[in-house]
Amino acid sequence: MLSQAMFPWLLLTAAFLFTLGALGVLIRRNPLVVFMCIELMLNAVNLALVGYSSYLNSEEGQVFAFMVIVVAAAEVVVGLGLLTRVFSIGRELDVDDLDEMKQ
Amino acid sequence: MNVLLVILLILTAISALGVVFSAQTIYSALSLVLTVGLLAVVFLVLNAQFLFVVQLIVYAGAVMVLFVFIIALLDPAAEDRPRLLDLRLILGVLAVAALCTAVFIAARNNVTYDTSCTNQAVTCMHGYTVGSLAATGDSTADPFHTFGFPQNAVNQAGNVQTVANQLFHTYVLPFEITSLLLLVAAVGAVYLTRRVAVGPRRDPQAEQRWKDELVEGAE
Amino acid sequence: MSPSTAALLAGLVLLFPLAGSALCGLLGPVLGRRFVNLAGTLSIGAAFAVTLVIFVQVLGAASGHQSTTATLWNWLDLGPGNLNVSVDVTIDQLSVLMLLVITGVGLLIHVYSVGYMEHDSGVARFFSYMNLFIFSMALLVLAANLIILIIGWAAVALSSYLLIGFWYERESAVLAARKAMITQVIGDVALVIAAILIFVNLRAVPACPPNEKCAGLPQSLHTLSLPQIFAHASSLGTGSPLITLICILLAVGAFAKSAQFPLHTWLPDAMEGPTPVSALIHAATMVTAGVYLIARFHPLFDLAPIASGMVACVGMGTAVMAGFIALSQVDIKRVIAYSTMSQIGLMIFAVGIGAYAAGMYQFLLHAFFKALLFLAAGNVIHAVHDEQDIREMGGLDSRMRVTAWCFLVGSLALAGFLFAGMFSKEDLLGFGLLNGPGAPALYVVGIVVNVLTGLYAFRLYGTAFRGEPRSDAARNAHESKAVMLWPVVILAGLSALAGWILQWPVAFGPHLIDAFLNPVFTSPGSGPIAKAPNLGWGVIGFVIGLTCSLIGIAIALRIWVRHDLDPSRALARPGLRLLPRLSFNKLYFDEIYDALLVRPTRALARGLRRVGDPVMDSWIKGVSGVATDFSSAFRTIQTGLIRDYASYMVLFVVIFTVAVMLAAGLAK
Repeated sequence: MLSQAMFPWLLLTAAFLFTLGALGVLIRRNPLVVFMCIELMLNAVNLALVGYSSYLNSEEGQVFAFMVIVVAAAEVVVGLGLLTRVFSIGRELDVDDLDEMKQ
Repeated sequence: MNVLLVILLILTAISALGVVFSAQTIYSALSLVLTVGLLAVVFLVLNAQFLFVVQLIVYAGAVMVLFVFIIALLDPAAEDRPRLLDLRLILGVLAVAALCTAVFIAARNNVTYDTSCTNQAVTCMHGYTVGSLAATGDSTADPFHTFGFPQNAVNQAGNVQTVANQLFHTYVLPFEITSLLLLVAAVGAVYLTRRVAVGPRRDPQAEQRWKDELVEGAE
Repeated sequence: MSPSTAALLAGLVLLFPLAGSALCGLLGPVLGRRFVNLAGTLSIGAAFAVTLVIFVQVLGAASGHQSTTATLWNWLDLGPGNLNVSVDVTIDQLSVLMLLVITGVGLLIHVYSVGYMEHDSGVARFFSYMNLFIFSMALLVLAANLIILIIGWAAVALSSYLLIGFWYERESAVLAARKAMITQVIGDVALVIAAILIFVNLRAVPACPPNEKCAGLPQSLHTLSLPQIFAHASSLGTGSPLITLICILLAVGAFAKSAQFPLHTWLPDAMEGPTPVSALIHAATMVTAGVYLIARFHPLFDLAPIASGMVACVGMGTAVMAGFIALSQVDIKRVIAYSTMSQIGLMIFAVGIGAYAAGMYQFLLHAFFKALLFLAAGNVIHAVHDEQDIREMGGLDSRMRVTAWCFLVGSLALAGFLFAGMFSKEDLLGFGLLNGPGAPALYVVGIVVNVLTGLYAFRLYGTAFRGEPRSDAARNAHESKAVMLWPVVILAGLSALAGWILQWPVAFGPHLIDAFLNPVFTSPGSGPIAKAPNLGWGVIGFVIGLTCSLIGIAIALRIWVRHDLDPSRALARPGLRLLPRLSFNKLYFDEIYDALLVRPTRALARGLRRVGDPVMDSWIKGVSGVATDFSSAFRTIQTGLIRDYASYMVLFVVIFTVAVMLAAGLAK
């Protein structure tokens, strides 16, 4: 069981990882790295969930973390599929190059 | 345990920095492998053995291998460093600072989850006092058996068993739905990566056609 | 038999075909034809061997202890008081009889398929599907839980779909497969609704009292376990609208599977599949699942006389209708398909009037002679180079001696003279004398069916096998290989002898199947089952039935073999002129369904589109116009760059989170 003293530090790390991931999404142009940053954010959430689970002595957080992992796996599969598709029609791997959403 | 945890958390934060700030994509990926591996160990320290294994198998095993494959396949070029005065960089750094400070202060002041809370304030879920329930082991006050198990009773049967118990009883429906999600993802991936008749790489005509299609679709 | 033995044996019966299916499907294309032939056939052989062990165990069990229910594992548990499904299997006389036919006849047909599919490149896929079918069918008959039964029910429909559409390059095969699937899904839905009704109405009933005879059964009523449902069937109310509705829904499921009116149109089209498939699925086993379902649910049907009466009427109606259509079909397989429909109609009639054992007796013997007819027809089709039109055959009896003799045995068995059909059909019609709605009104119809059966059976035999060959293919036909002959010969032997053995020494009255199955159908607590005719009625019924069969056979022989009786003059009379056309066009059922269901739906869709397009378009255009006007103000922030959108998101997420935390901190 997580001690009361350690809990804020754990949450701090989770928040740091999460915002760091968000920062990466904002500043990186390579979509692969953007996906990795999203993975980082999801992992940060998992850390917080497991931290709470340990702190509150309830396994539900772990169940939800498990679901998050499943969702993350599905997201990576579809995301990387999209990337290879973009690549196969001869586009560059640069999120700034993909501005069709404007139209 | 606390010392170990502190070291692990610091290492995780450092390797996460590597994910975001490596110029080469493959270094980002390797840093991410390190990060998820360290997080797995954190899970182990936090007594979540099941997630430790899942994290290693799914993330370090499957997801990261997928990433590395795609990097090998697409061979992305190294990226320029972002300009220091990029508005997004400033916003992101501010976000890191603001959120971390807020969460840390909140957690230190027991706002995020108050163990001694007795009133029904916003921050007290269900109004249960976790600490007192944990002391008395009185689960009748908690019909959902959500909080307040006697200390370490949760994992008495073993972590995998308790998590499985939740997954296959309370959360059996969401659990089954995730299988649907995975199926959809698999079908989507097959659909996306199927062979289509397009020209060679950097074919301006194909690109134009694709754009036209998108525009048509949008209209 | 102890539950653990039962679980082991039932598990093995299920496991062998499933493993065979997986092996053939996954490794077959790699390891080649010989491996597939071996694996596909041996798996069924193993299942048949285990079934024989089960059969011996059931025979040897003390009376009253032949039925064993065992739980393989707990499958679905939605928490206390909610649905709780475990994979239960029942081994009793009924399921063992079904299993014997499924694996036994299935084994013969698998052996036959080795020869029949010799030149087909998709043999691995074929055996994989066939084994899957055997697994599904075994699951269906072994299931002791309604949910598991429905799973098996749907799985046989799936394997039937896969096998009808086996030659998927042919459009007609794909369409036939689709038709079969859609029709069967109607039945599936009816079954599911029945299951929901049973669940909703029985979950409130208090669980089994511990000291009663249901003590060995699951203690809670929310399991949809069949023994539990049957033990508490009376709490659904005897003859109440509820139980009538449930039984009618079950019957609709049975009708869809057994090709009974009005859900029968898929069966003739299903003949697009390979002939072994027609023999196994669309004659011997799957289409009789409806009979099994009603027999299995007899505690419910005993309580719902209205539903049972409906079942009996539909069965007899289908029997006479299909017999009439079979008279003028020219496709050899379709004639047999309509005769299947007709014979199953008789079985449905039998279970409808409560003569369950008689229905299962007919099922057993019918499985023999109908599989025989189909396999023999398969030999014929093979010999005349995939020609199925009997007008192009003729004179095959001298060219394919063994097949012709076997076909003759099958035709006699079907028509009800000397061989199998004589015993089972007269037995169940005898029950019709005394039981059923308006008895003996349906018996009279049954007599007509007897005449019709004799007519079409020997029209088929006479046209295809006797006379002069009417095409080059028929002239050059030659006998099939041994692997395709032996199963036919064995089935012919079974068709010829089974009835005599089971009923020795008299050809009417009680038989061994009756004695074997009756404990299942007379379990205490269920209502009275059908009155058996006494010896006098038995003799009278037997003589009448046999006479009618002989009349049918004799007329058919005069018309189609000796050609000294021409029906066209008689049929030219104004009142009867319509009959041949009606029969040839299958009473216009496909056309009626097309006009009643397909066309109106299409017209409705077209009309709605004509109305809907302008209406909906104007709506959507209006909405989008408002949105366009409104959003043009915000257009400048839409750069199309993901990173910009992410920036907005992060900005507001951070503001929101910090604000919430501040508020919470202040509230504290």
